[in-house]
Amino acid sequence: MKNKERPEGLLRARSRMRQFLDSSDEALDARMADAQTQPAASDCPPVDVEYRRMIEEEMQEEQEVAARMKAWNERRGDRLGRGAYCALCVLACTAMIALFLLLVASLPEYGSADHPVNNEVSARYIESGLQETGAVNIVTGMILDYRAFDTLGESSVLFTAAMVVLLLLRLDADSQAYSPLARAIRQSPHSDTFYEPHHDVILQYTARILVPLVLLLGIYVVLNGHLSPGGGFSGGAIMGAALVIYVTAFGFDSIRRFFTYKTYQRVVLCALLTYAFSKCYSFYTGANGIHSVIPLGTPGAILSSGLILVLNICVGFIVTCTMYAFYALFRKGEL
Amino acid sequence: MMEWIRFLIAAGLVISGLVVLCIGVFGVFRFRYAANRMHASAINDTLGLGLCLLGLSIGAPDGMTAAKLLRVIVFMWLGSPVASHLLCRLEIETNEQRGEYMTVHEKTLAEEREERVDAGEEEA
Repeated sequence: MKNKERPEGLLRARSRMRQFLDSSDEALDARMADAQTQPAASDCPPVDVEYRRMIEEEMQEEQEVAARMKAWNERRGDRLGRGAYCALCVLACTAMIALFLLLVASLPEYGSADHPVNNEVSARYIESGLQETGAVNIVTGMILDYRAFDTLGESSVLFTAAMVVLLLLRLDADSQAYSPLARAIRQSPHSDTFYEPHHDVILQYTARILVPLVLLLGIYVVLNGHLSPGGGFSGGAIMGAALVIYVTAFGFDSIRRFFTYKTYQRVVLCALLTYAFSKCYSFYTGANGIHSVIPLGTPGAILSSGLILVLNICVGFIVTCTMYAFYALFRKGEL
Repeated sequence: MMEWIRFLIAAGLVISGLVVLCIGVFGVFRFRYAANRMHASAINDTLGLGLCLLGLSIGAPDGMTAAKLLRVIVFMWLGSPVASHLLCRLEIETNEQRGEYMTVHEKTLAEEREERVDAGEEEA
C-alpha cells in the first residue's frame, strides 16, 4: 500500500518503460533498422548474444516482480481471513440457488394450455407458418420472414461491432511505418504473438482434414436453414470456426491469398445491402414478399420458401466474416 | 425384452461416462500443474465423452442419429489431442518453473526453433 511496500522490480520496469517512451522516434528507427540489417550482414545465428542477454535480464526482473507480488498477495489474503471469505461464498451461492428454485416453482406449469406464451401470435406462426413462408423450419420462417426486420438489425449490430473493433485494434501498414513503438512491442518476447504456434506439423495435418469438413458442414447448415434446425447464424459461426482453424494452422500469409481486408469489406457490404434491399422491397409491397418473382416453391425442397434462402446466405456470409475478423483483430491487429 | 436390454446398456454407459467426467473435473481442480490438469481433462474428452456418446448412440431411436453421435466422437478424438498438444507446447515454452515437475529436453526445443529460423519459416 505504502510506497516502501511497492516491489522495486516494478519501479525499475516502469522507469525503463518511461525511457522507452521518452526516446525519440529517430533513435528507435535507427535501432530497428540495425536489428533488421544485422542478420543479413553476418553469418552468425540470427538471434545475437546481445539480444538474448537483454531478454534474460528482462525475464529475471519479471520473476522478481512475480515473486514479490505473490508474497504480498499471500500476506493480504491472511489478513482478510480466508475462512470468512469461503463462508460468504457458500452463503451467497446458497441464496442464489434458493432464489432461482423459488422462481422456477412459481412458474406456470409446463405445457399447460393457459400459459401466457400460448397466445394467438404463436398459434398463427405454427398453424399457417408453412403456408405463408414456405419454410419447414418454423423458427427460420419466423426470424427471416415475420421478423426479418429484427434479423436485419442483428446483422447490422454484428457489422457495427466489427467496425468498432476494426477502428480500435487495426494496425495498418501506415501506422506501422510511423510507429516503431507498436512494431517493437509486437516483436518483443513479451507480446502474445511470440509464443503462437508457428508451422506446427501436427496442427497442420489435422487442419487439412478438418477445415474442408467443417466448411462443408457450415455450408450445409446455411443452405438447409429453412428445412432443418440451423440457418445463417449457426452456419456462419461454423464457417468462421473453419477459417480460424485454417489461420491458426497455416498462418496469416496463407489466408491472405483468398481472404484479405478488401474481401471482408466487399463480402459484408454486399451481403448487408442485398439483405436490406430485398427486405425493403418486401416491406414496400406490404410485407407480401416478392412471390411474383421468387415463388415459394414446394415445402421441403431446397429451392423453396422464396427469399428466406437468400437471406440465410447473406446472414451466413456476415457472421462468417465477422467471426474471423474478430479473431484476427484480437490476435494480430489486422486482417 | 430387447428394448429393455438396450435401455439398460445405454443407461449403464451414460452413467459410467458421467462418473468418469466427474473424476476428470475433480482432477482438473485438484492437480497443481498445467500439464497434470491437461491429463485430467484429456480423460474427460476421450473416455468420459466417448462413453456418454456411445451410450446415447446405443439408445438412439434410429441408425442415422446413432451415426451422427459416433461422428461426434470421431471429431472430438481428432480435435482434442491436437488442442492439448498446442496447450502443452505453450506451457513448455512459457512456464519458467516447468523444471519443478517435468523434464524437458531443452536442447530439442531450441534446436527445433533454430532449424525453423534457418529455414526462413520464422523470424528470430
